[in-house]
Amino acid sequence: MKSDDVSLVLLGAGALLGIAVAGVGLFTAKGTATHHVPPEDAALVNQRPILMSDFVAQVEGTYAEPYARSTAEQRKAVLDAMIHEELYVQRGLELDFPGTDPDTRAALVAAVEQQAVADATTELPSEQALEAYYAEHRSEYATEGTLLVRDFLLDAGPGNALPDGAGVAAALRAGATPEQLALRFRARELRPSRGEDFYFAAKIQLGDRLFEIAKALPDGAVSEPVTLADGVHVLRMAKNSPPVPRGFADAREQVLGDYKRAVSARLRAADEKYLYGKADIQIAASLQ
Amino acid sequence: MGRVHDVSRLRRRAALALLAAAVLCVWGAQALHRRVMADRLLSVFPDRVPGDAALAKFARDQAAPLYREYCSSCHGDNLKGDRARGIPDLTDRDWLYGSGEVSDIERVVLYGIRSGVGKGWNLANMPAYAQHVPYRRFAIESLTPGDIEDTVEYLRAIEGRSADKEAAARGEKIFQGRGACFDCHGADARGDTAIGAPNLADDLWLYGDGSRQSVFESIARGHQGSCPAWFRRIPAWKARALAVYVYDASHPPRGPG
Repeated sequence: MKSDDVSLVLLGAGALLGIAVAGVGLFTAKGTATHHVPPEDAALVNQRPILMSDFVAQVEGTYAEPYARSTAEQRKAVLDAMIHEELYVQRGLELDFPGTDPDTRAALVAAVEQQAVADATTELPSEQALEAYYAEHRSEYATEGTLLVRDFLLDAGPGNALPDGAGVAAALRAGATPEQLALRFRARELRPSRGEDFYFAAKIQLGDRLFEIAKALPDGAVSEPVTLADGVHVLRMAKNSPPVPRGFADAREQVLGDYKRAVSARLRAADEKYLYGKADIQIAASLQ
Repeated sequence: MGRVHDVSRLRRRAALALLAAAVLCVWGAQALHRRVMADRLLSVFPDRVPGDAALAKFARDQAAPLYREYCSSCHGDNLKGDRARGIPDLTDRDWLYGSGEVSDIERVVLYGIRSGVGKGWNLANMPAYAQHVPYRRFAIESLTPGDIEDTVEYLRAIEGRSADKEAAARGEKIFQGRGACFDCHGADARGDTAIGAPNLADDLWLYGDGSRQSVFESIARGHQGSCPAWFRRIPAWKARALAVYVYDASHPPRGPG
């Protein structure tokens, strides 16, 4: 063989080898893989890391024990499951599940919404910002308010005679007992009290109109008769502790929660505006 | 004369170049050492780092400025927290989440508590029983002021403090029944570190001072403290260094004997 031929053969072989190596690198995951697992990872699946911290948390969550007490078999089982999950997630992306599967889409929407407000949940606002928010919404920060009220109902009298609400109110002011009211006026106590109630609970039990009257009564006071659809009501206030404004220091935790919710709402709105602003949305003529 | 000047100038320049090279070498060696140690820090299983003196020292040294930057604004320079704001003391051994190992702390550093990050600790909130809807995720009945007072007495009783026995008996029924307190805090009220439910049978308080008024307010208004997730801002090895730093604070070295 001439030396020129040998050179050509070697050149061809070299080119083929180069193409083969490039092909393996380009068309197989293994070809582009590094064989070094970074120290913070437990494994690499097609170069996607499974973080060691996630792995440890998963082992502890699965077996409800500190990682140090887990066995080699348990760790292997968890790692196998995580690799399985990663492989199937990757396959899911190849199959375009985000484009077609409603559950995947819903999860993605929730995750992106969460991401939009991540800064608000992570950032610790300054005390000045919190105090400014508190000052702006001061009326929302008060103690709960409690009351102990007795509610007497008068049905229509004999022969549908009008109930004597004023008489009941006067008797209550004079110190009549529920039994005396029942005998003299056929008045019955509704919802015999189990003790003080928070304002919100009293409002639910009494209804809006009676509650508005009740919360204005001082301790020991008796209301004027109130005619409602079910009869005439008379209220006697045993104890009324109205809500008291809370100072910033006392309400700080609630202020912080409300502040973060307000910032989250703003961020979500801004994110939505940005997404809509850059999107090309075309709607069918029949739906416009 | 000119030649002498040239030689001395050359010598000065050579000395400066040597100095610069030495500084560069030192800086490079330090950077390399830091890189190697950071890799080692990540390679070792987190809970074993405190047992490796060199690694633990490296972590502590690296973490001190990180702690000041990311954590001290809430937990304080002394890591003691703030009970008025429900910020935990990191120097005791009372852990809300996990068992206080480096891996547990690292998870909090990376993903936070109620941070909204899926990998974080997002369970559970303390319901506000003085509200119409105490808890959004789960149907729980509201309690009356009297119910809450009874529950407070029950908690005092199980802590071994002075309590009204009759009220405590009523409170126990609420705790184990319609209040559903047992669901998070456990039937023995010793809490559950898998969901951050504090132990109510010890004398450590996350919020307030443990007085009747303070416990009443916790039950009435609920709590949902949070810790930010730092995984987007702090690289993995620094998060681990911070975790070691916090672990050290709650596990001071024992003195001789």
